[in-house]
Amino acid sequence: MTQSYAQGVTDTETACWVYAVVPASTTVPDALDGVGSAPVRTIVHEGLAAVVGDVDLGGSPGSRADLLAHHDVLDTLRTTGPVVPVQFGSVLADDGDVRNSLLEARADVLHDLLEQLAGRSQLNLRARYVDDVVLGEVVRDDPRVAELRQRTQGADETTSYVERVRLGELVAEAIEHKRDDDAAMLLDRVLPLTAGHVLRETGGTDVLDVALLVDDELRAELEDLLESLAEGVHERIRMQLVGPVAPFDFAGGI
Amino acid sequence: MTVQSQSRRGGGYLERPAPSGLADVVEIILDKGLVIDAYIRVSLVGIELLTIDARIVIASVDTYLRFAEATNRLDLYEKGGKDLTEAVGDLQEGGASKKTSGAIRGAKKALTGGDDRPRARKRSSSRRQESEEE
Repeated sequence: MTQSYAQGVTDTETACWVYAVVPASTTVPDALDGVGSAPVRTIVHEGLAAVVGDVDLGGSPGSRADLLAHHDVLDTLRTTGPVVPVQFGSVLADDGDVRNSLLEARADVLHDLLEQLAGRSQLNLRARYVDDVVLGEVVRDDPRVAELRQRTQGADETTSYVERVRLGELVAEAIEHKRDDDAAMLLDRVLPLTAGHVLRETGGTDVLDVALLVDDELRAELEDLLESLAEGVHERIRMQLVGPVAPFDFAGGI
Repeated sequence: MTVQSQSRRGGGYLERPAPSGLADVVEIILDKGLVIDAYIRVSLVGIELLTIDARIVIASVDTYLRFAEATNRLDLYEKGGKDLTEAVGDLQEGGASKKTSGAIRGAKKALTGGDDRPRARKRSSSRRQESEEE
């Protein structure tokens, strides 16, 4: 479908920037401006509403201001009810295209998604080791690490290269094991209070990075639990909770 | 153990930053959300995605060297330029924190029901020795 439209693009063409899909019954706040300061409006079709804004393709959209605007619109929409966020930068040709290739073509999926997301919020949980504490644990726990550390500390960089790589490898392995344990411990406690989760890749001295979908009536309980978990582990792990945010990580379902 | 002045709620142990900066927003929304069959896909321009790259750590020599460097920088017990009394104090502190981490491990067992549930381990290592060290 994109090809035939694309042939007609000119430098000054206006198209539809798509922010999200919401139930048609949603009241989208007036005077909500989005990308390029264009006002946000809705296109309604059979119980669904696409939240869009006109965008001037000649204005080379895609700046950091546009990213922040897209975020701000979604952050407002999430307070109005269930919302399926659309990926940043998705532009459809015109209102008819939005109706046909999005609302009509994906109607079943969109209705299902909105049902799953209703009354729920996304929170992003991140846990990180306190570097010096966890490294200290590794040095104390593994005599091989302690020995290599002593041998390479202050040693010539070139001659100690192999030993430093080995030291780092042992440390990385040890942290990976700790991460497995600690992440499992945190998830065991947290997940029972959630309706869905998406794990993100972690590395370095991160313990856990996970997007949580939580029922609104369980949110306070979850936050209390996280607070007490954070208190329990704070000497070696720092926990951070961001949100609620629009359910970007659950736009593909739970 | 040091006494924490934070109260449990509001400024407690759980950090609650408001997503405000560009890096936060990138983290929340970039490459996420419903993928639609777009007429045009606008990409984000002019942003160094360092915040993302920094988190993708693969097992590489560079990573190992960074870990080695961080480990070697650690100031464990031997704090330079202190007199003997302070050094002894530090050692005792070290002993205390060792006990604390044992206590945390105990707490963790209590939290998880003290189980030995099977966990996916990427590598079986010789770290088993550690239990004998403790």
